[in-house]
Amino acid sequence: MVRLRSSKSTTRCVCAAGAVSLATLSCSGTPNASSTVTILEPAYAEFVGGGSNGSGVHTFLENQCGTLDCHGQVGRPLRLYSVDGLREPNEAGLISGAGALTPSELYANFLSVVGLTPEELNRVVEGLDPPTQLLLLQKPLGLVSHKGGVRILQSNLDPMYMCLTTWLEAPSGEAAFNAAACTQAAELP
Amino acid sequence: MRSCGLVRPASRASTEPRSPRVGRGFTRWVNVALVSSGVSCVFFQSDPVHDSEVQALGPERPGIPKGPYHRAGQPCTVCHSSAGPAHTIFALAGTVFSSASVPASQAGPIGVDGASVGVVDDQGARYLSQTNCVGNFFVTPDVFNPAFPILVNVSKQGAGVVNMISHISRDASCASCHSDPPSTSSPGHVYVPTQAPTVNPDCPVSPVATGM
Repeated sequence: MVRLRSSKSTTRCVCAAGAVSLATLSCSGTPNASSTVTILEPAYAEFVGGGSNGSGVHTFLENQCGTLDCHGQVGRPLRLYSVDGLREPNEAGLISGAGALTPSELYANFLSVVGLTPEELNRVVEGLDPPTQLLLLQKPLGLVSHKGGVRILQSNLDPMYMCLTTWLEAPSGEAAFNAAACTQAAELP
Repeated sequence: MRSCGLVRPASRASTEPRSPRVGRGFTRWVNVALVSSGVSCVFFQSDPVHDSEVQALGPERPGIPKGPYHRAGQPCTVCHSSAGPAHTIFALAGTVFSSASVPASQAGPIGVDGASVGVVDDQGARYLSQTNCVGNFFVTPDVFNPAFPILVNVSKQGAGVVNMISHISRDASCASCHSDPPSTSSPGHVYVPTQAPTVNPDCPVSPVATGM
């Protein structure tokens, strides 16, 4: 009887070892370096602003979220460069608080935003999901834990909410980009 | 964690011979020991990130004892928070210096005595703190516990007002962001420009912050 139990446990061990080996093999395939994933994205022109796009989405994000003690930190999700916060490493002598934002910093901020939850962003831009499915909104709305607390209200009266949601919904025709809301959202109290 | 696990006593139904040395009494003692270590895991486990931040501040500067004049220019709430090791908790704290840059002839920036630090919090509550003779100021939560984000300005009679351009989102220490030298991740120390910084002769320590 004891022998039988022992043999069963040996079989179990062998099976477990086999499963681990298979799992290891399945993870050790050669990665395809040329493989790409296409991401639908909201308009970069509206993110950057200027002209009829007002101050754009980026000014609001940089002013309200990109301070050095929050998203203006290297290594933080949704890392944001800003004039008075974190600057991209550069050889032009641009330090925190000096010089305008460079095109490279602007584009890096855009990539931070669209790269936060890219698959879900696809669905939002296509109009399949509401913007509130994005971590970009779930965090400041307080729908999921946010170290910076609740910063946006889910209301058409909140310019920050309107700026982000209309920017995200504009490509699918769900809403028209509200440039005025973005300009208003960028202002500090 | 392995050390926080428990040793399970042998099942009654088990037909396997039990080692005479591993009796129930022994198992019980092992469990008591492991539960005790589990309790220590919960209550006495240190935070290595916080510990390294405290270590990075280095030792106290020679001639400046612990107290309101020590560690000017350092991020106060690394230690003065619920994580310790300081016993006093600060809701806000920092140091105000007399100029943005430090002349080569000077060992470090000079703290400004009697500068005012104005705070407006997210609810519109206002508070005015004053720096001591080395430029340090600190606000305890029982006096004023601001709702972040906050707006801040620094002023000094005869020197004008410097408004911080951005808001402070959640860090209670000025020096967490305002460290020297200015860089891509810091605008440099906090200052209110004074023509000739006056040193308070009654100050028990030097207001020149060295080794920041």
